[in-house]
Amino acid sequence: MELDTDAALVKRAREGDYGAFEQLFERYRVLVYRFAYQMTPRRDDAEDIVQEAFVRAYQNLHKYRDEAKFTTWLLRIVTNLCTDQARMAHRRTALEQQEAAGALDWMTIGEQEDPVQNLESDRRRDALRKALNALPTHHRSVIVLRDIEEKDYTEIAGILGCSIGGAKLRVLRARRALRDRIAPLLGEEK
Amino acid sequence: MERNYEDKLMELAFGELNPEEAARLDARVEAEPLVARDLAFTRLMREDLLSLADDVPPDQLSKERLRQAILANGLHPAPLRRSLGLGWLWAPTAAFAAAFVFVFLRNQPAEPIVVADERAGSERSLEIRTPIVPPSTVAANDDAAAPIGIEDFQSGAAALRGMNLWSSPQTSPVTTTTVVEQSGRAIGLEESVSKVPSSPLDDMRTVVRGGPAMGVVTEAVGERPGGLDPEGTSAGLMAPGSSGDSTIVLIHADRSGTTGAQTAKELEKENVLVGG
Repeated sequence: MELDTDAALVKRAREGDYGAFEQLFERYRVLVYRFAYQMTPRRDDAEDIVQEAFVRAYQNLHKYRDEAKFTTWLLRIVTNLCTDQARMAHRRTALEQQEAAGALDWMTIGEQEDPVQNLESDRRRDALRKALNALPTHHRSVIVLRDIEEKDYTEIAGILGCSIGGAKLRVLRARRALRDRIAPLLGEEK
Repeated sequence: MERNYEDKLMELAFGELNPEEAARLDARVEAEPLVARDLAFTRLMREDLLSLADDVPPDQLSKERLRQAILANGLHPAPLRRSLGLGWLWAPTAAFAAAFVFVFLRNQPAEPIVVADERAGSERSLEIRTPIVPPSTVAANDDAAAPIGIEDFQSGAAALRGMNLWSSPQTSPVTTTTVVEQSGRAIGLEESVSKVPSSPLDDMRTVVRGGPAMGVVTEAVGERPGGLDPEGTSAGLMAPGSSGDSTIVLIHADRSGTTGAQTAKELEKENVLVGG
C-alpha cells in the first residue's frame, strides 16, 4: 500500500499520526469548502462548516469503513453539517442577508464585455442563487453535488446513503423544484 | 405535458441522454415551440449552475486553525467502542424473570400451621381438636360443606370465623382420644371426656409432642351429638358445615423395621382415607 493514499493516511491518522490527518486536510479542504460554500451563502459559514467537518472526521476516524471513499464519507459529514447550519440560518434576520447581498452586488465585476449581457447574466445568476438558497437542504445538496460540482451518481449515492436509482430520482426532483422556483424570478411561465 | 416526457427533456437539457435518444428527442421538440422554449430555459439554467462553480471566493482555512479546533475537542481520535449489541436483552430478561417469580410464588402450596410442643420423654402425639357443631348451626352454614382434614386447617379456620358457634366462648363436652406411643410404637388409646371452654383458634390446633414430624399420632378432640362413641372412633365428629360426615382419622407413624424409613399406619378412620 502506498503511503500517500487516502487509506494509508487514514490508517496512520488512526494510529495517532496527526501529520497524516493534516495531509488529508490539505488534500480535500478545497473540495469540502466549495461544496459548503454552494450550500451556504456566506464564506465564513462555509469555513466554519469545513473546520467542523474535519474535526468530526478526526474524532470519528474509527467509524470510517475503508470500503467507502474517504471523500464520500467526508462529504456526507459536510452534508449533515450544512443541513444543521441551514436550520440555524433560518433564525437570522432577512435584513442581514439582504444587506450582505447588496454590498456584494455593486462590487461584482461582470464577466462579459457587453454591459447589457453582464447585467442579464448577473440577474440570472442572482435569481439562481436566490432560488437555490430557497430550496430545501435535501434538494440543494443534490443540485450542488450533481450540477455544480459534477459528481457522478455513484458518488452521490454514497454521500446520500441511497441507491444510484434513488440518487437519480432525487436529482430529478431537485431540478424540477429549482426550475419551478427560478422561473417566476426570471419572468418565465410554464 | 406528460411527466415522463418532461423528465426526458430535463435529462436532455442536462446532457444525460445517450446521443441517439437525444437526437430523437431534439427532432420532436423542434415541432413544439412551447416545449422548445422550456428546453432552452432549462439549458440556460444548467449553464448558470455550472457557472456558480467558479463563483467561490478563496477560503481562509489553515492547518493551524484546524489544529486549534481539534485540540479544543481532544487531540486523539475517540477509541473504537466494540459492543456485542446485546444491550436490548436486559428488558425482556427482566420481564421474564419477574413473570417467573410471580407464577412461582403464586403456585406455592399453603402450609398447615403446626404448633410444636417439645416435651421431654419418649411420648409423642399429635393433637387435633375439632369443634363439635350443633345440627342447627350446621344447617345454617350449609354453604361451607367441605370437611376439614389435616390439610384444611387454614381454610377451615377461615370458615369457622363466620360461624355463630364461635361468636362467644362456651363450655362444651369434649371427647379426647389419645394414641400413646413409646419408642416410636403405638401402645394404646386413651379416651377422656371433659368440658372445657373452647374457642375457634384453640380447637383448630395441632400439637406435636415428643419431636417434630416424627412418629405422628393424631389425637381427635370432639363431641358426638348423640353421645360418645364407645369405640373411640370419630364417627360422631363433624367438621363445621358438614352434615354428619366424619373426617377424623387416627394415623400412626412408625419406622420400617428393615429400611428405617418413616411409614404411617391408619389406626381408625371414618369415610376418610389417609395414608403415608
